[in-house]
Amino acid sequence: MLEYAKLVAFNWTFVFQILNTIILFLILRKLLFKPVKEMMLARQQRIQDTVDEADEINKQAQAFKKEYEIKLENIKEEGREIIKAARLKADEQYKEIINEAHERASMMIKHAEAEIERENIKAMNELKNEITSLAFITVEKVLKKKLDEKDHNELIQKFLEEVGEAEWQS
Amino acid sequence: MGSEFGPKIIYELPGGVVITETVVNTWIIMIVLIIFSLVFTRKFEKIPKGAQNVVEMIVDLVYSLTEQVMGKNKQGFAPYVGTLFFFLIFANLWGLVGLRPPTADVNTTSALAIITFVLIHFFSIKSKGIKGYLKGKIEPFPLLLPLNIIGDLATPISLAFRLFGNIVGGLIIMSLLYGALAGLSMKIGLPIPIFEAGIPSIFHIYFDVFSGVLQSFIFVMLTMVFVSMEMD
Repeated sequence: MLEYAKLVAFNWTFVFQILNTIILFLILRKLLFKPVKEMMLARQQRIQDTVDEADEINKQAQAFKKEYEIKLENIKEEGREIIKAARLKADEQYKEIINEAHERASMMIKHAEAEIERENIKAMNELKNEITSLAFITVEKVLKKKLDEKDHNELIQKFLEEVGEAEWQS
Repeated sequence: MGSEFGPKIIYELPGGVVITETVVNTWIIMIVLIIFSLVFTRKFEKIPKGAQNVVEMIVDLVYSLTEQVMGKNKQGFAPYVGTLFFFLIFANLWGLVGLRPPTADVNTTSALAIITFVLIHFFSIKSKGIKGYLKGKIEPFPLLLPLNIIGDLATPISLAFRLFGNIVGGLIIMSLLYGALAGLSMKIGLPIPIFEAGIPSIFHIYFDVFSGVLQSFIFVMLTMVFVSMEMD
């Protein structure tokens, strides 16, 4: 038969309950509150660290980007300048070459004209010599041969023909 | 030995040391809480999922409640506040499983109130120094010293009997109700005590769930407020 304790009476239960509460507190603190809280704090810290790190990297990346953009802009500018310079130089060279070619061509024309002139003079001279020698030969022939009126005329005619032919041929 | 509303004596050790129903039920609650803590914190991972989220939420709630009520520098009280809260919730709702709530025993509530009393005065002395603590007793003027002492002593008594009264009142009303319903079905001559099936649940909701949770909250809040008030 179970006995009942008084409803409102202090007994050993009081001591037991104080000890029970303290024991439960110590165990729950060790098993539940401390590890969970520490884990949450650690995670918070880790997330904070990660975010900070990401921010830092982002900042660095932005700085790099800016730097490279400036560099790129410089390079473009440089490239434009180089092209401009090259174009100017090429223009100059082009003009020079053209001028040189012009000069050379005119010089060559002059040379050619002079040559032609010289050749002309030379040919004239040769012709004169030829005519002179022919005249001599003819005179020789006339002198060597005894000629009559008829022969004479014939000869002159022949000579004239010869000369005319020669002149026509040249 | 006593009335039948008192806790049953389970075992009597030599020298008059009695182990009552209250103590046994407290042990069961302790074991349940410890097993819960073990099971839920065993597979803790860096990235929380499932039950871990719930546990973290509860622990975080306890810490933030402590911080809000007591202040940021007194977060160290959170484990005790949490232990007290979990124990009281389980103890007050213990009637729902048909067992006697440990808080329906004046020894349990007094034990908890005495711990609060010790916390109040220990941390008051620790934070103000013994001089500041004693000076606080004669404020606003020395004539009020007896009143201050009575006030200090009244705190644990009111804490203990508020909780005890609420829970034991509910317990008595519930057992009277069960008795009345059983008597009613017997009077009508029903072979099955049908009235005991549905009607008590409404009263359980009020006396056990509502009153129990509310009283747990009140006890915990008052403990926090008294301790932090005496510290500042």
